[in-house]
This record gives sequence, C-alpha cells and structure tokens, in this order.
Amino acid sequence: MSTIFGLINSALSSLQANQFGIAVASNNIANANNPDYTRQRLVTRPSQIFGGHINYGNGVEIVRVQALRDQLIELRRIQENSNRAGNDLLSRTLSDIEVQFNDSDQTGLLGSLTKFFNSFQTLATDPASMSFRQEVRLQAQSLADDFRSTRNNLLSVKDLVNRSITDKVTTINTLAGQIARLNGQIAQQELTSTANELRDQRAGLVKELSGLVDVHQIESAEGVFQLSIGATNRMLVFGTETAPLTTMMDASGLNHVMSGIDDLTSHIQSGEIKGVIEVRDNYIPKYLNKLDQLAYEIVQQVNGIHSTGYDLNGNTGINFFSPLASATNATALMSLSNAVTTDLASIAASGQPTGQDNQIATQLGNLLFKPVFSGGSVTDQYRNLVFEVGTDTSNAEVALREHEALAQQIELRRQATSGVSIDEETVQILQFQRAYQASARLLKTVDELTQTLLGMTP
Amino acid sequence: MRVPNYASYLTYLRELQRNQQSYLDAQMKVTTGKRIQKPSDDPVAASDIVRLSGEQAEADQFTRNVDMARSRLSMTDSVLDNVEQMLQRVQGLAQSSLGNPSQATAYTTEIDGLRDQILSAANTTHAGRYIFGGTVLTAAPYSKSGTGVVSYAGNSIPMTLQVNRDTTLQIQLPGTDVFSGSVDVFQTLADLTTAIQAGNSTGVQTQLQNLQQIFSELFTARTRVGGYMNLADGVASHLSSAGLLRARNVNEVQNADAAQAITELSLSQTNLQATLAVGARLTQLSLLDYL
Repeated sequence: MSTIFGLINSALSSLQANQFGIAVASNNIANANNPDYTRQRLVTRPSQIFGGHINYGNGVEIVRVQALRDQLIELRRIQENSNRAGNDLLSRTLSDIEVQFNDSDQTGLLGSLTKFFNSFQTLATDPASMSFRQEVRLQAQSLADDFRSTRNNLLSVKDLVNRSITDKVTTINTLAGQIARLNGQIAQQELTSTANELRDQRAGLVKELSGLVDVHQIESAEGVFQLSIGATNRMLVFGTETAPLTTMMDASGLNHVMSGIDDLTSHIQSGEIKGVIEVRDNYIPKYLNKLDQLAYEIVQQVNGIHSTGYDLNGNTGINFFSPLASATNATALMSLSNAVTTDLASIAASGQPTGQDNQIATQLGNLLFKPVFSGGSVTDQYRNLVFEVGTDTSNAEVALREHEALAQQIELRRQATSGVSIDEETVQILQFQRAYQASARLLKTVDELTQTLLGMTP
Repeated sequence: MRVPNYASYLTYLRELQRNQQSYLDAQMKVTTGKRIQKPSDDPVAASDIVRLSGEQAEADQFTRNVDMARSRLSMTDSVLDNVEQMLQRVQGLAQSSLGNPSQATAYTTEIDGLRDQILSAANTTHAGRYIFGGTVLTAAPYSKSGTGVVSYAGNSIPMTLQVNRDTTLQIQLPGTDVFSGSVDVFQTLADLTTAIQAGNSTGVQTQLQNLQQIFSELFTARTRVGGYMNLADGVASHLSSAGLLRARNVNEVQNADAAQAITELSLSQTNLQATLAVGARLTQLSLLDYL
C-alpha cells in the first residue's frame, strides 16, 4: 500500500532527477563549442518498492550520466585526421618548393639557362670581342649560382623538415604521457562512477597525436587503453605505461624515429611525420637528382665541345667548366675552369687554330635546343622537371582536398551523434522544468493531504 | 539527422574558406592577367610555357644575330659598290692614257691614289672588326710595304653566322674572294701604272684584260652578298612571324581570358557575399527567440 510519506519520497526523487537533468543539459550547452566534447544524457530508471501483492513505482532513480559516443566513428576520426595532417604538411611543403620552379614569374632556372647558351650565340657574332667573352663568363657564373641557390633552397627545406622530426617526437611523447596519466584517472574514476569528461579529454589528445603519426587505439575488455603506432603496431601507451619514442641521427644527418632499438621511420603511414619523411626522403632527393643530372650534363656537353675548340691564343683542349667525375652534387660543384676564370681569351670560340671563326661558339649556343641531353634538349629536360614538380604539388593538393572533405564528413557524422544542439538542450530544459514544476505541485498536494489528516485529529 | 550547432559552424567555416579562396584566385587572375600563377595550377601548361619561353629567348637571340648579319652584309655591299666605281674610273683612265702618252704621270698619279683608296676599302671595319680578312678579324688584312707592294695577311676561311636553327649565313667575304683572288687588284694596278709610265701599250692592254677579270669577280662577290642578304631578310621575317605565332600560343596557354576572368571574379564575389550573409543569419535562428 502506498503511504503519504512514500509519495513525498517519490516527489523528492523526481525533483532531484529533473534538477539533475537540467544540470546535464546546461553542461552540454556550456561545452557546445568544444569539438571534442561528447554530449551527455541523464539515464534514469523508475524505482520500485514492494507493496505486498501489488508492486508500484516509487519515483525515479538516477542511474548514470551517459556520454553519447560512437566508438567506430571515433576510430575513423583519428584515422582520417592522421591522413589529413600528413597530406596537409606534404602539400604545404611542396607549394614552398614549387616557388623555385616558377618560370611564369621568372623565378625558375629557365632565364639563366637561355641567357647562358645565348651568350655563346652573341659571342658568335664577334668571337674576338672581350666584352662578349665577359658576358659568356658572367652568364656561366650566374647559371652556376642559380643551380647552387636552387639546390640550397631545396636543402634548407629538407633540413627544416628533418629537424622538425625531433620536435614532433617530443610532442608525441608529451601527449603519450598525458594520455597515460588520464588512463589512470579514468580507471580510478570508473570504479565508482563515469569519467565522461576525462574520456573527452583523452579523445582530444589522441586526435592531436593522430595529427603527427598514425595511432591505433584499442580498449581491452578489462578496460586497458592501448595506443600503438605505425604499420608494425609499435606500442606507445599501455594503460598507464608509455614507451617513449626517440630520434637518432644517421651518418647523413637524417633523423630516424626510434622506439627502443627499432627504427620505425619506414613504418609510419600517416600524420605529419609521414609527410615530413615523404618530402625529405622522396620528393627533395628526386628533384635534387634531376637538377644534378642537368647540371652535370651541361658541364659534360659544354666541355666536350669547348675542348675541341681554339681560344684566342690558338690553344686547344681547354675545359670551360671544371670537369666533374659524376652527377653527384653537380649543382654544388659546378664552376668555371681555372683557364676561363683567369683569362677571357681562354674561351674557345673557334674551330680552327688560325683566325677567330665562331664555329665552337655557335655549337655551344646550339646546346640550348639540340636534343643531345638524356631527356631531350636542355630546355626539354628542365621543363620535365617543372612538369614533375607541378604535378606532384597539384596531386598533393588534390589528395589534401579529398582527405579534408573526408575528415569533414566524419566530423559531421561524429557531431550528428555526439554534438550538442542548443535548441535540443533548450527543449530538454523545458521538459525537465515542467516535470520539476509538476513534482513541486505534487509535494504541495501531499502537504495538503497531510494537513487534512492532521485536521482530523481531535 | 541531428544538426548540432558546432556542425553548422563547421560546415559554414569550410564553405567560407572555400569561397574566400576562389575569390582570391579570381582576383589574382584579373590583377595579374594570368591563368597560371604557379606550375601546380596546370603542370602541362607550365611545362609548355617553359618550352615557349625558351624558344622565344632563342628566337630573340637569332633575331639579334640576323640583324648583325644584315648590317655587316650591307656594309660589305656598299664597300664593293664603291670599289667597283673606283675600278671603273681606273679602267677609263687606262684607256685614255693609251692616246695621251705625254700625260702618263697625271694618269698614274690618279691611279695610285685610287689604289690607296681601294686598299683602305679592303681594310674596312664593321663594329671594329675587319670584314675582308676571312676569319682574321683583329688585324688589317692588307698592308703596303715601303716599296708599295700590297700583301694579304688574312685567310680564306669564310666567316659564317648561324641565324636560325638550321640556317647559317656567310657574313663576310675573305679578301681572297674579292681583292686578291685569281687576279690581284693591287698588283694589277701597280703593273698598270708601270705600263702607262713606260708607254707600254701592250702592257696596258694586258692589265685592262685583268681588270675585266676583276670586274667579273666583283660581280660574283656582289651577287653572293645580295643572295645572303635576301636569305637574311627571309630569316628575319620568318623569325618575326614565328614570334607572333608563339606570342599567341603563350597568350593562350598562360593568359587569362579577360572577360572570363572578370565574370569569374564577380561570380565568386556573389558567392562570397551570399556565404557571409548566411553567416550573419547562422546565429539568428534559435528556439530561444520564440520562448
């Protein structure tokens, strides 16, 4: 049988629960703009007492505050964020590199290439002219300078991204430490209650971590939260323990990402570190090789022709550039030969020992368009490089746009489940407010009933 | 599907960024007049631009070379014309001298004077270089010794200049093709004055025959020079028309169509304005306003 005081109890539980509900909704509103926040719902159940043969409800019981989280989306969010961040870094860095090869605003090498070979054509109009010889030497120096400065710019980008690995690894370790600490706190708090806020915090940190390197998260049935990285699933966080990463510099100055004695560098599949490794180990060396090859072939071809010619003093067999043994570092080593540096008369413009004919100057000028280089003419070879840089950059941009769209899509999916709608929360508050008002009214009714009872006493 | 507040901000922000980017791109196109700002905008076109700019630089150089060739050839032609006139005068004097042996000294004095003028014509320079010395450019090809003998210090190698990928012109005639070929002009004139002075009419006749031979060689030389000049003119006009064609190609590959660029700009501006207007309304719609 129901009792009057039982009713008071029921009204009280309802007041408490609805007030709690308003608190949860207001907390949702407060965190509505935090992208990592997961909206929460109050979970209640009707409480029951035994009333002999007839059971009836006795108000409401608060079970817990539940966070509305879709674990699958959380995992995909981390994965896509990792892909996006890696592509973002790659695309940004390639855009920086591309500037070196922009001939539509004259910053590329084309200008110095054409000026160099054309200076021989000008010399052909007057092989005896010292000022035209001066011009040839100047253009050759400026070509070598431009090769070198393009090389140095590429190397400085390479150096910059290489050094950034150390910082990124430090950040990874810091994040791993914070996550491990949160794991401890979450485990402790969840012994007695829920740890929604801490879990949100942790999800935010894991997302940040995923921007640097591909992380895989597993929460075992026993509640041990684990993070591993790379294709080999190297453990980074295991519950409250971490296995910090280190960096090791190899003989050529490249930083490797290490876990213990294992080199993870080639196992990293996404995130900024992957972007860095791609730029550093693939793109920049590829461009440098092509530039070296071009510089080397120019040196070879020019020397090959020049050495058959005769200078103003009738000497032959003179190199124009200092000879190179191979294409390795040709852009750094390209320089004028001693003979040409010290004496303008040593430029061999003539094909015959007597007189000052222009056969050799003309042949050298023709190298601009003669298809004697391995990739066609010198301009062909250079434009292949421009095409390659342009294509790489544009592909990286396209990939970035795709991954951004995908990441956005997943973010929206996550928001659909876990995001806070202020309108929805307002409705919730109204709903709880009305129920609260009704419960208060019930208390008043019980109070009146009690008064009536008391009035019956003599 | 639920639409939480943060989701609409997220979507809005992305659209705003995208529209701002395309507005900026359209603006760049209009202000620079270029469709391609960097290789990644269109790698194929960027590589075409490199090819076309390279070809243009090469053609500019050949244009300078052909100008130089024309100027040197026309200099040569005018020198040859001058020499021909002087030799005609010599021919006239020699013929007159046959009937006036008493005036021999007057004739020979004038012929000697003409001989010196022809010598100086043979040592003509263009842009500081001797044009009749073969490939010997920096030393005078002809010099007169104390005894009046003129000797040639040049060579007979033709001086050529490339004026297009596959066209090479001879830009100078060696003195051996003009003044000291099968018949030496200076020797002929020297022998002529000797014959006139000696009253040796047979000798004068012989030298007059030699003069005929020299005229015929001069004629051949001038015809060759004229031919090279025609070739040079042809190359120059070819280079200039190819240049126009190339300029049109560059324009097509690199430049933005003005009308299209401006249309794109105003379109992207409209889009951006619409997006901004949406942003202003984003915060206006709230249940709270109706409670």
